[in-house]
Amino acid sequence: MSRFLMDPRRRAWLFAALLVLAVGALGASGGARYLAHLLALAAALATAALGLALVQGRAGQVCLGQGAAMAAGAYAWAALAPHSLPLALAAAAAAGAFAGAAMALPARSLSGLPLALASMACAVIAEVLAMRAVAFTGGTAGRFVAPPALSAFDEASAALACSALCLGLAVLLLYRLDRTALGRAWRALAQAPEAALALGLDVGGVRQLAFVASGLCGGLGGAAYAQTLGFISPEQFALPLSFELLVIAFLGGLRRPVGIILASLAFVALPELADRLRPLVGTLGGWDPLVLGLAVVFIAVFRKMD
Amino acid sequence: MNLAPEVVLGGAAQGCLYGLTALSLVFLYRATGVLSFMQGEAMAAGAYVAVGLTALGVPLALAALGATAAGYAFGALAARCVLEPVRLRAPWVATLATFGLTLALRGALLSLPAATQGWYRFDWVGEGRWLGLAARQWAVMLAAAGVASAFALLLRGTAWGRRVRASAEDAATAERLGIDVARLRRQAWGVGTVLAVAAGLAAAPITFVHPDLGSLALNAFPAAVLGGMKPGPAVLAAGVAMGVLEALAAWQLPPGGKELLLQLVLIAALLALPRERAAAP
Repeated sequence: MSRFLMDPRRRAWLFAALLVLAVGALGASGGARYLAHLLALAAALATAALGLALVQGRAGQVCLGQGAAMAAGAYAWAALAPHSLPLALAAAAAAGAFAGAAMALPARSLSGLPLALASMACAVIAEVLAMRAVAFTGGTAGRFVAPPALSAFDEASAALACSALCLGLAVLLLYRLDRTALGRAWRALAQAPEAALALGLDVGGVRQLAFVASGLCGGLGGAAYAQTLGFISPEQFALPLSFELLVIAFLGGLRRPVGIILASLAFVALPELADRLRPLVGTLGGWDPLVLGLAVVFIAVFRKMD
Repeated sequence: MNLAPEVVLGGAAQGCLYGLTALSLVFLYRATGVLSFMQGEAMAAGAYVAVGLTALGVPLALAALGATAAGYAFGALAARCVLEPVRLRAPWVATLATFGLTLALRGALLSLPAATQGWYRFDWVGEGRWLGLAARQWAVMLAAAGVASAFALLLRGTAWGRRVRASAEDAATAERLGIDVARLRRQAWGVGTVLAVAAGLAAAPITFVHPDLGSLALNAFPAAVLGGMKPGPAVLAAGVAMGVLEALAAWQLPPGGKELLLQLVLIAALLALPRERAAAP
């Protein structure tokens, strides 16, 4: 931009360092446990947002229903975690992938905005189902998620370990997938859809698989989210969550996981920052959404899109 | 006692609101290429402006006028500062920016202590019944029909509307013919917001004015798609159909059935929508 500013890459590193410092300072004032809670939350959001970045970056589609995949993973985890942690993790991933597959059902004939609206409809349907399946989800009253029986950890550290594991698994999965034939097909679809079609690629099927992989990430993220919060209810997974994940994925940068992790850190740090500024504004009921909304608008306007 | 006619008519009154909101969605989508998620909050905010003005002693008609003027100013300002610059770089990010604006508007509403402490009425109708429905519901239907026809007249019968349609059809050619497309898009954002505010004002007599007033915009999406994503009477009719369907579902199906049904209609309508209309302009 101008010579007074550093070159973009170093500026990004500086920004990242500042962000991590800020989260650290904000969390540390609430104790190490609180810091662990914030980091776990950020990792859970980043895990789910990674899937959206895949859907947009590779299949060129927008998914407005990642909250549904998160809900599926969260409830599967909540039901099975007291029995067996590996089984619960696998079940959460499978449930998320299933939700992704359900959202991808129209993907064979739809793309672009109609597909995004269809995934949004799926998210609303998932929320209604979660509210009605009272025996399994506790309905609108919600249900508690038992802390895992890891004797060496307290609750917050266990949640952080779980979130970090989920994030690691998701990053690893996407990294591995990118090097398979499927990954090449996704890249072809993103860069030259017509050429992909002409080469006999099953465009609809490849698109659907992107949704399934994204749902899997969402399921893992949902498990980590449930473990971090310790309590889940259907409203938590309603449309605003899907939009927040989309904001993280788009404004964090669709290219690299680091950007998404940083964006989710910022997303977690922002309400904390707003809380610290609260003495300046007194009792304002809508202070948090106001700050968050203005931040989203601000970043959308000033971030350089690649 | 047979309740069916009352259920259907009451649903139609509610559906008129869905239709008006869907009209604003579809118009903005056609004129600017951005799917806006802020129409619901614009409805709520506009209704609050009207309530606030009447609380200051302004007559009802002037308060409604003030609310629509505020809606136009907000839409045009948001377009100039945020939405148009962003849209030129990345269309989906503009949609996310409307989500940010929604959050900010909602935060501003919830920050007004008076707004959260009660449900208000911006009642421009009054009591009375006719043919089994409250006068308020008839008035809502009339108001929706009136606003929709005025909008159709604006779009079809004026030079401004012709310019908007021309630049939605082919922006490059319109630009070459001397139409200031960028300015037109900003005005379109203003007009689209005014439509949402009008829906909010029309909703006020039957739903009260409260911070969650805008949540009815969710049901505008099925109406918009079913109406063919093209501004016109079909969208209003689809909204009415959605309202009737919702009322019947709420009457006959178990709880949660109406939300499920409307979203299934949305998916079915998306699958049935002709491909060239579904594509972004």
